Amino acid sequence: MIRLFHKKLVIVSGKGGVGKSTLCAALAILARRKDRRPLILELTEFESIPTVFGSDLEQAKGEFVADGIRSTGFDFEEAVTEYLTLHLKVRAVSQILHKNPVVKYFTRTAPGFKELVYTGKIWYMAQDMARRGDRHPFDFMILDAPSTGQCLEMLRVPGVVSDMVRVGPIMRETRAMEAFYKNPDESGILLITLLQEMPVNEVLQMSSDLTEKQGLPVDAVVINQIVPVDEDILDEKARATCPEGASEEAWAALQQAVTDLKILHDAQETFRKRLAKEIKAPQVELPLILKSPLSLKDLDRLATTLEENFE
Amino acid sequence: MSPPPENSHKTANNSRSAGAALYGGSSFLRDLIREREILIFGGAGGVGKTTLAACVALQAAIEGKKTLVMTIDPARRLADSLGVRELGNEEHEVDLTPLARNGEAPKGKLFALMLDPKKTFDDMVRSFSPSAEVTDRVFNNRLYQQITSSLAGMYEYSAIEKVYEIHQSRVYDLIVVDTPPTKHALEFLDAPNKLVEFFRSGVVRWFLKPYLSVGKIGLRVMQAGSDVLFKIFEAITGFSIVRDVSDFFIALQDLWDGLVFRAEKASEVLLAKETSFVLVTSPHQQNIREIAFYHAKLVERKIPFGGIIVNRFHFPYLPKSKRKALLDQTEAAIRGEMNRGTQAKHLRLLDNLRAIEDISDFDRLGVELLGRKIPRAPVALVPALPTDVYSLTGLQSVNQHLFAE
Repeated sequence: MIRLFHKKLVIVSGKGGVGKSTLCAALAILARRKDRRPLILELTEFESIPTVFGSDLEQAKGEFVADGIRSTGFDFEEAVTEYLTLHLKVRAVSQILHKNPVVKYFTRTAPGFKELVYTGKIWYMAQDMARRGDRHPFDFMILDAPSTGQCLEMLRVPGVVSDMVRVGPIMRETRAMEAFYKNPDESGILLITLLQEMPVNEVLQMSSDLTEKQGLPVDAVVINQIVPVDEDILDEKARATCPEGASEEAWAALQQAVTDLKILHDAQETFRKRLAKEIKAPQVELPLILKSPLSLKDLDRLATTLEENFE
Repeated sequence: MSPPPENSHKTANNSRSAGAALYGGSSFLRDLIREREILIFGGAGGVGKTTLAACVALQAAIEGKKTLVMTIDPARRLADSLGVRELGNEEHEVDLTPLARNGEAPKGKLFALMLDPKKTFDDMVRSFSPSAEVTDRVFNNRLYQQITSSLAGMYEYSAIEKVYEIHQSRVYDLIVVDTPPTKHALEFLDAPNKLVEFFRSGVVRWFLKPYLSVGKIGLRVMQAGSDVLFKIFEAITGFSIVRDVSDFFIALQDLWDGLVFRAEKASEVLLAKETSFVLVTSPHQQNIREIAFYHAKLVERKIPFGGIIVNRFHFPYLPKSKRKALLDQTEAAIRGEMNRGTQAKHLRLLDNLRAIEDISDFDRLGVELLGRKIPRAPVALVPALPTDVYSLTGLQSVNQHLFAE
């Protein structure tokens, strides 16, 4: 079993379009079953989590999207004001400061600043959650993180800053942040991929950067949309003879389908093995579900599959 | 909501709707490569844009066009096939001899280029700079690299700028462009405007004058807060931020008007009558909804739209209309088999065929949704292939579907 639900934060990342939001939703459902109070966090104003749970409506930040599950987007400007307030102590000053077009320009474009605000805010939420204990509306955070490259860049920033600033409150803060993200008892990372070339390459690259260069814990690689192939049917003999009275057209289709399945099976196996060889973290597989959007029942099903692997 | 009338005279027959085009060919791409000079491939990341752009470019070359395919981030093996392993904005001729061996002697030539956004911007600065001295001052500014890589839309803008530059040179008959993967279509379409806006914004002007001009309150607040804020910036970037940025903008000042003019010109590429957008999507309904949004934005901006490629489409093994009857008949036959072992195996085979047909049904729903979302759009379907396509002959086999009559 992979230990996950004792943590404060789980970060989910992978190439765009592989199912990050779906995995976050299924994890949240599972967290509920484990009696945690999950919050799914997206680092964008355009939230997609409410849609995953079937709500098309504009939904207020931090509200329930499903039974006991909260989700929230991220208002960058608001977070910057908060960040400045934290350091300047007076909110009014930070608001004025932040309205200054020059400062605003910097906060948007200065390399690393956005990432620092993101990682800082998430860290702060996790600390706050621990401090406030039972009175807090959530006690388990799931981060629907940006895709691989951006996510790496983001997680790199606290370390870079703490190396550069040698003294003072910012140094102390970024050190604490760095320690938090590196501590497997507090924070974890799930990488998600499909068994296709580009998503697999990105996940391999990300995993080696995270673990080797940054010392961050990868808890598992989730392989999404597996097409189940019944290996027993792939042998040549079984399909050679068409039963008497069967439709020849159907039998030809069946033979073609098996040929295709065999190729698909081999491709899936190759990628699976590559992932296993190059990433130490365990693999967890989720089946392909042919529905769009997924229903709550489908998400429940995925949560049940996850339950066999995570505790 | 209807797309611009381009090509409608030729494609009306086989593209009345996505539903009608289902399983039939659609030759809209053939028309596009014959009639247009710039084809821009848009769509979400991971749907196969890069590969399909290469496919279409290859077909144009085979038919006699001198063609350039501009890629952004190809999978390594595809980059190998195209002979572009490295960034660098350099155009390489693609070796098409592997095709000649198959008896398909190409009538034209294919070139490939892998876009380097940074270098594109450098070249632009250089071309608008009044003197080598100014160029040096810009390039030597410590912040230049940071600014050019972190400016919103820089990457997207570079692609448009490069297309404009190459198109102006008139070297190629056709340029096929793969766009950077963006979450929102707008990021690509708005990139030139964003840049122009930025150049004209108060921020830039502020830096061009000494920073006293922010006003008294602003300045006092700046002083109060700047310590912390700029300390953070400096910690991250390693630069004494205000001075460096000021220097940067002052250095850039001399080529300002040129850059703005250029950005405006370049954005016209998107609207030109020689241009057409080809949208790429998977059959998944989520992607279809996104591509419908993209299409709506194109129409809104009067950007020429060519058609849609639905990639990785699972064609049915048996037509839906008679599938049940055929499978039921086959099941009955299997149940009549004497050998229990064979029978069990055959039943499992049948189950697998049924399961795999569910996928084709699912994909058909996606294309039907596309037909409702964008009626009358020309659509080409490319089958789901079990492995990635990267060789020239692989690309060519995809073209059998893209250019099916």
